[in-house]
Amino acid sequence: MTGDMLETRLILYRLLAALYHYPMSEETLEALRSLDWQENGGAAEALREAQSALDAPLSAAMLERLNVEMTRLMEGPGVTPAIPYASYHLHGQQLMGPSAQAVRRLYLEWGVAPEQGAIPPDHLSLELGFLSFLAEQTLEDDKREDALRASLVFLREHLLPWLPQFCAALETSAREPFFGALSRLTRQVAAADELWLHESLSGQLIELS
Amino acid sequence: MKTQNSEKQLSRRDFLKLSGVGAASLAALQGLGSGFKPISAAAARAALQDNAKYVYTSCVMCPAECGIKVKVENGVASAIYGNVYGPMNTNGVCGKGASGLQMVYNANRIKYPMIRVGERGESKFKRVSWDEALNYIADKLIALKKKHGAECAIMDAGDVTDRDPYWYLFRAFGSPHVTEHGAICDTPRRHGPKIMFGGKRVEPDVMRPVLVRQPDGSLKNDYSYRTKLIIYAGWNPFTATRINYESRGTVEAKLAGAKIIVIDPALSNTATKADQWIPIRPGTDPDLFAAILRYILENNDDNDPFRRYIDWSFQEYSQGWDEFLAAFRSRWYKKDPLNGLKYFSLEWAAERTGIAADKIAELAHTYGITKPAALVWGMNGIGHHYNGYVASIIGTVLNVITGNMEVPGGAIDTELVKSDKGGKAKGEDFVKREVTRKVNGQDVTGKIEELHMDYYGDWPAAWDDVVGDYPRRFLEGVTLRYGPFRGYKYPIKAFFMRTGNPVITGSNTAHWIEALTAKDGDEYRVELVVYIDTPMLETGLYADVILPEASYLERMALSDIYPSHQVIYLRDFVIDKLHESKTQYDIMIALAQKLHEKGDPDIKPEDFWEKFPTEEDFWNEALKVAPGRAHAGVPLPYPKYPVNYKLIGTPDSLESGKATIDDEKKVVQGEYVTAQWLREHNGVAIWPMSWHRFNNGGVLKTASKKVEFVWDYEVEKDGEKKRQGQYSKYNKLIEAAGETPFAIAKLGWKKYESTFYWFETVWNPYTNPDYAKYKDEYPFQVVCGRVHHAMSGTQLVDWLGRIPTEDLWAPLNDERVVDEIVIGENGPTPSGRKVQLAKGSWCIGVIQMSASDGRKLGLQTGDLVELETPLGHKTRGKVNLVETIRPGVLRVAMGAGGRFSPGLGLTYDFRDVTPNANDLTDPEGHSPIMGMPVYADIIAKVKKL
Repeated sequence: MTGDMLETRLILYRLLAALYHYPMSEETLEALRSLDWQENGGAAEALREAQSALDAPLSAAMLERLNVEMTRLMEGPGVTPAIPYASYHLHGQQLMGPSAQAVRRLYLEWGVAPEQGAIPPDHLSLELGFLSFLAEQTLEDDKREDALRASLVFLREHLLPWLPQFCAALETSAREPFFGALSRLTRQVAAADELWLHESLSGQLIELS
Repeated sequence: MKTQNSEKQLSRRDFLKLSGVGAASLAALQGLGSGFKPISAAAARAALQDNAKYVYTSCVMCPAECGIKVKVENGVASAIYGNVYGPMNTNGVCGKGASGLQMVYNANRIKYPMIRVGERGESKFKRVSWDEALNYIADKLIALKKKHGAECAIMDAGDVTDRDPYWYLFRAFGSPHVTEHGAICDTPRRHGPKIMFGGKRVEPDVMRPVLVRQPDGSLKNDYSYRTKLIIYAGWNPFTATRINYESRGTVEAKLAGAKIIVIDPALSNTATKADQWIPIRPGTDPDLFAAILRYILENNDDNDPFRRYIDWSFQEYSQGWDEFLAAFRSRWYKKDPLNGLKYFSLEWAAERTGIAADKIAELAHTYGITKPAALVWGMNGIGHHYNGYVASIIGTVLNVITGNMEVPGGAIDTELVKSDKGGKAKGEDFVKREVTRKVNGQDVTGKIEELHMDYYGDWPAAWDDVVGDYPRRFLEGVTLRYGPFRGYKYPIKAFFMRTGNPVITGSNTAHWIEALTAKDGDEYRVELVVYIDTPMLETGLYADVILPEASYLERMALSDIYPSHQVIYLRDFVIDKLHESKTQYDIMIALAQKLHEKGDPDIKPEDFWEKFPTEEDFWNEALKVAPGRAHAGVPLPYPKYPVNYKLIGTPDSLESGKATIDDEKKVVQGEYVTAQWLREHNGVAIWPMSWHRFNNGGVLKTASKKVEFVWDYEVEKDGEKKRQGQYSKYNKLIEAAGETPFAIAKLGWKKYESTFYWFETVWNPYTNPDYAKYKDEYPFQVVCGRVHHAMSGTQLVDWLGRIPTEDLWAPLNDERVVDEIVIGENGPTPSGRKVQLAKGSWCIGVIQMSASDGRKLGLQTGDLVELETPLGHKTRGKVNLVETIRPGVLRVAMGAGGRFSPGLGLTYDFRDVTPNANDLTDPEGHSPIMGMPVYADIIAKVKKL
């Protein structure tokens, strides 16, 4: 059970990081579509909505439409409705503020750096990618507890303070149902993970090692 | 920390039963990676250390391009200060410069390449890779070149001077059309200095400190202000961009005893610091200048120290004065048909300018008797009027004959004395190549530059291009009328716009939009529009491809804005390039590589990546010509070197004698200035100042090496007669073709006049009989003002939007809850978020109106009115009733209203109640010699809405 959970987290964060990394690819969307969530929680519901918003099989036209919409929502040019940087939401609508500095520092402390150095380090895709990196660390026994604790701190101090605001903007502005579902999925996964991490680390749920 | 309890049906169990991840998709997910790479412990430790540093560079928040010092902490720029070593701003940094981080780190910056997927103007784009964007551009350019020739493409590099890489690329590609913002800035204003000196802009000698050779041979900074009088006519250096030192220097000169007089219909910021403000009627600066010249000529008495206005020593370094004088005098015996008074008399000028005759006499006397002095005219007063040339010529003459040019504390033509830069990096050699075109069935061979749409088309004397007239040529195509390709026709098919926004600033807005959206069948007439910039402005909405240019803290270049002697400073890399932006150099090389790969025959590796493997190599090439000016003046900068030899090399190599003297080429060659040298010397190279640099030729760039009062004349050399003078080249073309350019034909000219000329401005019922009929129905003259911090590209800087300026940008917003607007799938669309603005909390562009006019019309400050011209052009805005403008005149700031790019922040929200000056501009109103839009020749009636 625990092992499943650790892998689940890895898969979800990898997937979410990829979904916020332009352009949306067929592989990512196929991976999203292949997931099966048996529960009826909010995250599972959002996942199913996202899946049903996709053509089956995935058409080139659909992919194009999603990327044009993603451009409008998050990429530009100029002002976009959903701005995927922590700094914008937390530090007076400017990029590269203290929140970007803080996550950069954290990445370095974990001995990693973003592969694309020119993207501000508090871009949503990078923050989710870092959670997937931490999730990967939890698969190793000797790193598990540190990585889980770091994940909880990261969620609470870096991602969750701005994620709801971003997701609300994304959901309100999305013309393609897929992005509304993606917004809900992101918010639900982060919230559920925060709760799970909290309970796990409080020893209420699972023996970790 | 509060958890997200509000989430629907939140359950930890959500996580437990994720299944069904197939092997293939699991592999795909793992293949996605985390987006992170491991780094060594040492590298991480190094990166974690607090490594604050300071970098000297130059600003681009406005085109003054001041020297700045930027603090960088952990790779992030955190504060901007002035560079104490740069004499342009000497440690000062203005509010706009200090807020530059809001531009660099603006969330609305263009971050990625984009390709249009909707119609032009709809703003539907798709983010693409650089490769896709460059392939699109290169394929289109090559196809267009094959069909129409490379001359169908224009590269307009806008309002920042670091455009050389783009110009180099386009010239190599084979287009003669490379231009920049100067073409729509103030070309008539520069005309006098251009034809008389080979220069451009006359400014007062108030740049301090200046490095000066001392009698003991040492070099010392001189801080003294010697100026006794500065007259600014239609020039507002406190608010205009470009010459930072002039704002500070004017105040310092005044504190040192100088008198400051400002002639302007409005009480400008500069006027607030003046001893005297003279509110002139718009468009009558030539009248005032001509009356001053006549007064000086008629009242000069060489034997009376109180009336010795003319310093006849100017004749030692000038020629043609008698011809100029005769032409000028011949007019003053004639009567003006409008008022029956003799031209240039005090009464005549009083009638036209609205300034009392005795005031004009006092002004002329004060100017004539006070030395050293500078008469300086600006873009608003003179650059924006149809007949600004006349004022510019007379102003130049006045500075020369009163002995004020090039004396300490007098007037300086900054173009002639600034450091040279660019050299081979401008790519001028490329347009000397020969090409063949079929003209009327015959193969004709000529140089690429002879295909130029303006110089060999409708505007032969427009040496700064005619950007304001582009819409007509986009719509109608180009017909060459002069030179070897006379009769050749071609369309304009590709328009590259970099750091400029002509839809708002390049003449009439609707005309630009019409030209950019006109179609032939399904295809846009201008088939390729590319927009390159950091902020997203209106012109970008009409682009097919958008390329993100690195911000000014992420790129390299050179700056040298209009100093009083040779100074050059570096724009350097301060921070790493953000997002996917590229520098001008990067874009030049990447597009050149694409064109080469796709078989363009003119783009060669040895001219690009092999020649300039790094960005620094390119700028070092541009520095090879620095400072490049004649070694001239008093005190002589380097007594050990011969006079009038060209100086090349670093200040220290020239100073220490590490230089060779080439007597044949007349060059003193020191060690080349390089980017690294600049970096090691606080970012700036400063060569010594001197004065009297016109004597013995000096820095003058005329053919005779003298100040020329005649601009088309014959000389005999070695038994052969030769035409010289700045207009002679164009007149020879006109004579050969037998065709007069249409714009000067309207003046009744056959060719360019060889000495003093006079013509009236347009749309002025008070001076031009053709427009007198409009006086009653259209009682207002509308002139342009400038809001320094609200100019085209920087309105998205939030801090600046709040600061009122010159009664043109005032907190007259009503209370509004505005939708945050973003670019939606069908153009600008609400994002769903709301922004609340309290009444009076935000500055907006307004219409400045005299309080007395407001009373007559029953208006109150804040009332919304519509302005309408006789041509039916309209704009709307709120009136600001003040005592700071001449009755009968309205002032509207360029670019401050009617802005429809959502990326501009709150300015966008008030687009319905703010005026766009260029909604009113006559689309066919181009001044006759340089084709400059007549932004300030507008009359209007006012209707309350």
